[in-house]
Parts: sequence; structure tokens; C-alpha cells
Amino acid sequence: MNWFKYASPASFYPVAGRLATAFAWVAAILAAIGLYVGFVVAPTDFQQGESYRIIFVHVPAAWMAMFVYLVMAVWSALALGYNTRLSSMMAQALAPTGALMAFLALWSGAFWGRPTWGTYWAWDARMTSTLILLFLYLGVIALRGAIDDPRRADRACALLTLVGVVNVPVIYFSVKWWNTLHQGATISLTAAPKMAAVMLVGMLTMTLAAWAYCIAVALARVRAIIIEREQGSAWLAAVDGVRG
Amino acid sequence: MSASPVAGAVWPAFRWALARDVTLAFRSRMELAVQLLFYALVVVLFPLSLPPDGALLAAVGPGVLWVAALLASLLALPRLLAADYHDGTLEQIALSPYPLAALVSGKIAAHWLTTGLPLVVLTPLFALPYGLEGEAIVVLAAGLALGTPILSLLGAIGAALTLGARGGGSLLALLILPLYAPVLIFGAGAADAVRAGVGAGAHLSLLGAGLLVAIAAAPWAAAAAVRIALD
Amino acid sequence: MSDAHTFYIVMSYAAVAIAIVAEILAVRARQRRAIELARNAPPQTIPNPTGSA
Repeated sequence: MNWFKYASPASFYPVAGRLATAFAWVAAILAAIGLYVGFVVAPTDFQQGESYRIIFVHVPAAWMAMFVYLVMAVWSALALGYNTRLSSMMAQALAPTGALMAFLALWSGAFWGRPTWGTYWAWDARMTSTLILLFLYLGVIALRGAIDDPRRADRACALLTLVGVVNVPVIYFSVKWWNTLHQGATISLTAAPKMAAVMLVGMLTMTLAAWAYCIAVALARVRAIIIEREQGSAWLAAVDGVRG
Repeated sequence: MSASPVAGAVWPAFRWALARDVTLAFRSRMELAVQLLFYALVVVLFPLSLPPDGALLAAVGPGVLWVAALLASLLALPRLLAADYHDGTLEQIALSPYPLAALVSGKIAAHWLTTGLPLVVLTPLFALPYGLEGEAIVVLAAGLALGTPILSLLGAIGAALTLGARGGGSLLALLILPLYAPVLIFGAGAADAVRAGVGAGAHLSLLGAGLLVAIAAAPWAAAAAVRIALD
Repeated sequence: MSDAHTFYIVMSYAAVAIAIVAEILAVRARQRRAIELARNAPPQTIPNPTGSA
């Protein structure tokens, strides 16, 4: 099967629509299962009480924040390597979703940290590097808005994303190292509580739900981006809602 | 778009760009002095905003000096590329047969010589008011000596990406400051380690390693970004 | 115990729910606006020299 024909925005547009709908359903079903497992099946935690249930959104959001950036970097590398504009469009579509995931990870992490460790915020490796990751996302989004020519913006954002992806592990390890030197002052936030199998199942289900959601939203957004950037093309006339 | 690079022209290209940029910088000595004064101002304002506690000042001193160095480096970045971009010189530079990465490296070196090096040399002057002494000052200066070139190298990438983009300095800051974070952590951490009695060897080694990686990779990334901006 | 922890759970999950709804609505609005633009855009009769955006 010739996959490369889908590198054309025109042929990818309908496919993205069908995939987005499919993944949206998958996300909804998995989320329903995950929330059921998380709130009904999983027992109250011995140490943390009820508030531990926040991990069912916190951990998926945090993983998605990192994973979406990696996928964005892959699309960016493809965009620079093959000079395909759909690759750049995919990277462009992923950035807002990734930024939102990073924000939700920080927000839910703060409300989990407060009852669990007594503080809304701590400068540990994970939270700090997630915060910096959020800034990296915002930087890519800001750069795209700041450059008028779409193709130039594509290449600049792709380069910035790739520079950032190299930095993310560096930032994580540097903050982690910085933290271990201040052992006395900080609480060990990196030690995850031991989890019962049920909780793990709920968390993994919610993570898969988040993954499906991110795919669905990114594909829906790329459809809008394709239309925005392919103004005046002949194939657009055949799209629903556009006449001639 | 680019002519074939002249063989063996890396060093002459680097030297040419370095000499040109340093000469141009020295023609506006006032600008350099103002940058230094900005750094001094930031260093002076912090103690005024904090309780007059000697121990507190000594504890925040390395961090404050490092953040001030970051800001000073950031302020000087438009001079690195934007000025040449606006009058068309950068395009001529990119069209020349000399390796663009070498030319950009020369510009980055000039940026560091006029921005970072003065900070390193003047470290004792700014560190003593914070109650830092002896070995802490030496390690702070060493950290700055290793870290400020990294700031210039990373800053060049950001400066190149934002050429001709709206948003100016704030956009540049947003793009680069997250990348500066590890440099800040290890640089300020080195002085803190010395003050705590632990050695700073590991911090400085990591900074040194980071500097080598930055030298190896940043000029090419910046050159690629310049070509993107000139297309 | 439940009361205090309810606050944190609600704050977290409410934020997630609001964020998801907001994102979906925003993407829908962007799609509508894009189609609106496409409806009014003049057709390209010759290929754009630099390729379409």
C-alpha cells in the first residue's frame, strides 16, 4: 500500500477526519473504564486516603506532555528532512495539546502535592522539568505566531523543537542532580507510592485514554490547519461547507 | 543557496568574523559600558529588595549574579545577528563561500568577548558586596567563564530563529531561557557547593562538558537557523 | 478526611474536564473559521510559485 500518498494534505484530510472520530470514541470508552476502575473499584489508599485518586489524571497528563513533545520532534525532523508541509502541520497541531497536558500535569500535581506532602509546589526534578517543558511548548507556539511566512515558520519551529528535545533530558537530569544535593531540605517527591495492581490498571487505562484523546484532538486540529493553509486549492471546493 | 565552502577556510573565516564584530563593538564602546552598567544595576537592586541579612545575601549571591549574567547576555543578543540582518550584511555573509558555521562562530566568540568575559573578570567586584569570599569567588568566576560562552552559543541559535520575527526581545527570552536552565543550575550550584564545603569539581566538569557540546553543535544549529531566516 | 480531600480531587478533575471541553470547542471553532475563510477565498488559478502554504 502506498502510504506516501497520505503526505499530501488533500488526501490526508478525510483520513484524519475518520481517524479523529475513531480515536475520540476509543478515548471516551477507555476514560469511562479508567474512571470506573479508579473511583469505584480501587480502594482507599492506606496512607493517602482519597486524594491519591488524582494520579489517574496527573500521571497520564505528565506522560502525554513528554510523549507529545517527542512526537512533535519526530514530525519536526521529518519536516526538515523531507521538506513536507504536512509534517510541519502535524507538529503545529500537536503543540497546543502538549502544552495543555503539561499545564494539567502541573495543576493536578499541585493539588495532589498539597494533601500528600503538604506543599502545592516543590522544585523537584519532575515538576521543574515539566514546567520548563511547558515553556518550551509556549516558545514553539509563540515562534510560529511571530513569523509571517508559513513555510519559514515551519522550518524555524522544527529547528527549535529539535533543539528543545535535546535539552529536555539535560534539564531533567540537571534538576534531579541539583535536588539530590539538597537532600535535607526537600521531601523525596520522586518516590512513587507503592501501588496496588488495581490502581495500576486504572492508571494505565487512563494513560491510554489520554493518548487516544491527544491523537484525536491533534488530528482534528490538523484538519483545521490544512484548510487554513490550503486556501484557494481546488480540492477544498469539494469539502463540506465550502462551495466553489 | 550556498556556494561550496572553500577548503581549509574555517579558521580564516572565524578570525575574520571575530575581528569584524569586535571592531564594530568597540566603535560603540558606550553600548558595551551600558550593558555592564545594566548588570551592575541588577546586582545592586537585589540586596535592596531582600532583608539585610548577611547570611541570606551570601546564600543568594551566586544565583543573583548568574541570573544577572543571563539577562546581560540576552540583552546583547540583538547585536549578534539582528543588526547585520537589517542592513543586509548577514545575507552577504551567508552567500560567501566560507563556511557559515565558522563565520557564525566568530560572531559568537565576539559576543562572548564583549559580554561574557567582562563579567568573568569583574566577578570579585560584584561578588564581594554579597559577602562571598575567596574560594567561592574563584569558583563563581570559573563557572561564569565556562557558562557565559554557553549562553552566547545557545543565544545565537535563539537570535537566529527570531530574525525578522515579531515579538523582539521577549520572544527571544522565552525561547532561550528554558535552555539556559541547566547552565544556571550548575554554575550557581558550583559556588553554593564551595560555600557548603563540598567540592565544585563535578559542577565545573559538567559545565565544561556542556561547553564542549555547545561548541560542537550550536554553530551549526545557528547557521541552519540563519539560512532558514534568509530564505 | 473526605471533605478536605474532596476539594483537591474536585480541583484536579474539574480542571481536566474544563480543559478538555475548552480544547474541543476551540478546535471546532478553528475548523469553522477555516472553512469560512476557504469559502470566501479566491481560487488559485496558477500554482503559487513557492508552493501553497
